[in-house]
Amino acid sequence: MTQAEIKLCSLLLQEHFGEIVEKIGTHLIKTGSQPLRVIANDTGMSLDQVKKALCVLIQHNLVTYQLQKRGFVEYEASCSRVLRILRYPRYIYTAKTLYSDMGELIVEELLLNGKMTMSAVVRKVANRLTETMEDGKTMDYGEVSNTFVRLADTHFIQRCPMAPETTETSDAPPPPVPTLAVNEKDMYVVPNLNLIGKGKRRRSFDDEDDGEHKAKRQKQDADSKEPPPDDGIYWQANIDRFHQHFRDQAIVSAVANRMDQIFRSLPAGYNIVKQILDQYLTLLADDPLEFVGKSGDSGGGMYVINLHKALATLATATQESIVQERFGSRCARIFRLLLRKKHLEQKQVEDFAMIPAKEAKDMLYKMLSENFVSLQEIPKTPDHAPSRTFYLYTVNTLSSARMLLHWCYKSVANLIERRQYETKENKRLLEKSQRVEAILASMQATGAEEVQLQEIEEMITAPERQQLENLKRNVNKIDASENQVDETIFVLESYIESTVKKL
Amino acid sequence: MAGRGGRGRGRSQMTFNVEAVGIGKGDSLPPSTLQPSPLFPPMEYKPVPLQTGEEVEYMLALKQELRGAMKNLPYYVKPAAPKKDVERYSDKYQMSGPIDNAIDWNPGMHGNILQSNPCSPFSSEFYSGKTTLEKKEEEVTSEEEGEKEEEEEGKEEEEEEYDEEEHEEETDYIMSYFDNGEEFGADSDDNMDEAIY
Repeated sequence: MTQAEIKLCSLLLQEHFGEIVEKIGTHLIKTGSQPLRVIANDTGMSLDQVKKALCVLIQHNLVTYQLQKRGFVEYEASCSRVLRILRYPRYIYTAKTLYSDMGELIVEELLLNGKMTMSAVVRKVANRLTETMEDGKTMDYGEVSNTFVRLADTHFIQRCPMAPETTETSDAPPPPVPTLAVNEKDMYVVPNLNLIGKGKRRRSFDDEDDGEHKAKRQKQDADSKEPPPDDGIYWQANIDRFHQHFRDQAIVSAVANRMDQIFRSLPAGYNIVKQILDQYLTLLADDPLEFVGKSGDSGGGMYVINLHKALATLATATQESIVQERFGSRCARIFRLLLRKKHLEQKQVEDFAMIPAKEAKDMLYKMLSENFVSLQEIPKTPDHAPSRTFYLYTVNTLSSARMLLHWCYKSVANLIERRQYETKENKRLLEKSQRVEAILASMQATGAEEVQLQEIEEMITAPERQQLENLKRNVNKIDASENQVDETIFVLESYIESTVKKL
Repeated sequence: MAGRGGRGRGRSQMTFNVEAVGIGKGDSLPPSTLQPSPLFPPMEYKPVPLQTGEEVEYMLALKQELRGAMKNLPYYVKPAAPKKDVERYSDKYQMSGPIDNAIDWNPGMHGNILQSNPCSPFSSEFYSGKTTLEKKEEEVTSEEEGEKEEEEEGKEEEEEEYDEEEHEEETDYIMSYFDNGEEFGADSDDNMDEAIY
């Protein structure tokens, strides 16, 4: 793990789980797998604290455990999974676009809690939706269950690995660690639950039949003490499936940008006349972008999407735009030239780019010093004499993608630090404004006069209000930047992953 | 060795012919760097403004909500509340903030009763002089208990190794039975007429 990744992971853990979990999580990421006692020793924390932190981390799928051959259990943290915390809002928003509010809340609950049973999710989501509905209306469990099933069918949520069923008659002592395994076939199978019920609103002061409600609530609480019918079957959000979806979205929008007019004229739905379809497919296949390729003629023509090429193109486009924004459009021209021609000498760069020698030299060196561009030596003679060697400039997309990814991690870490700093600087003011709001709310509830409310509001002076406005604006900006950098991280990571994966 | 003082005097010696890379004779090199680059270097080109739009706004709101929500979930392990100057007798019966590493969430609750009951001499709690109570507001109680029960029921399989030293977060004692000691003095003032043996 690079330093930048570790720093970012530790910031994310601290923001979402507190310092104790952060310490232990960071330690595990830095040192790899370790047994419990070693963690406690190295971090200097009590065994109890370590256990609780590990509980939280395992619950959220950030740490796994394994029984080693010598008989002790080792814990291992997954740095990349911790980095995904940055992407949670994107997952939730995607669920919202695909499955509306119900889907959004289901995925949100699963991400917030790590692992949950289906009945727990349905109950919670129904309650939350009921809160937002008008008085007197409640959300039925059935609808929520349906959305849950649809999410499982499209693989956006999946079952967690389960402990094997323990047989009563086994003589061997139970293993120190349950070996969790999930059957591939069952991963998306929804248990056959008969969830009947409606969402509950939280107790409000205006309940008329209080007595009846109390009795009902007690009965329902008693019910919830029994184990739910699907006890032991836990669900988690399937991050990889969301990534697949993002990747598809990115490719589709890239192609759409390319072929604006054609796309606009295409009829919605799939009823395209065969000839027009043929034309478009040929157009796509012949496009220099090479996203779509023709792999044969059987069946009228076999077309295939070249995913690797598509991802590489997206990553390259990102790099081009970074060069353009950092160094200017002339540098970008040189960069694009190098991408097309692969290797060029100094002189050739000047000629092809039509940029005067001095400037071209300057720009090349700037990019070289920032590692966007590298030099390749090609000796003419076996003794590698410098005067008889070609020096060619080239762009290595994979290595510059890695470098940019590293930059991105650093940027997000810096953004988070700055945001925390801003919030800490204004902590006193924030607390004061929260107190004032609380007072206002309680006074309004008890029906105070307009004059009194105004008095309370004036407790915050105008310059303080301005300060608060500034703070809010800055924090919003920083948060939005974090989200945007995460999009770049996704594109670069997908590209790098596609080059590394071996089947 | 002989070549060191020979050719190219007045310029740093390189192992390759610098002309090939483009540094001609007589060109001045940029000044060498003597210190680390400044923290906030001046930028030649202003950065592109952030994306805007409904999607972006919604995700921003989601992000901030998530952050706030996670702080209130039982998974957020709060560090110990700072101790007061002197440990007082009434502390035992008062509800204070989160005790060192206490979290509301208890996976795998069928722990050893002997060790987890704070009043039994087998548990370490017996000797610490504190009870593990948390401050719970009314509205939050039902939610938290609901969550706790779900996690409790569900985590038995996976958390077998944690059972032994988990503490029961709730005691069997009803808090209202215990005074915090402040009224003790007041009562005795009223009964000064009675003889005290």
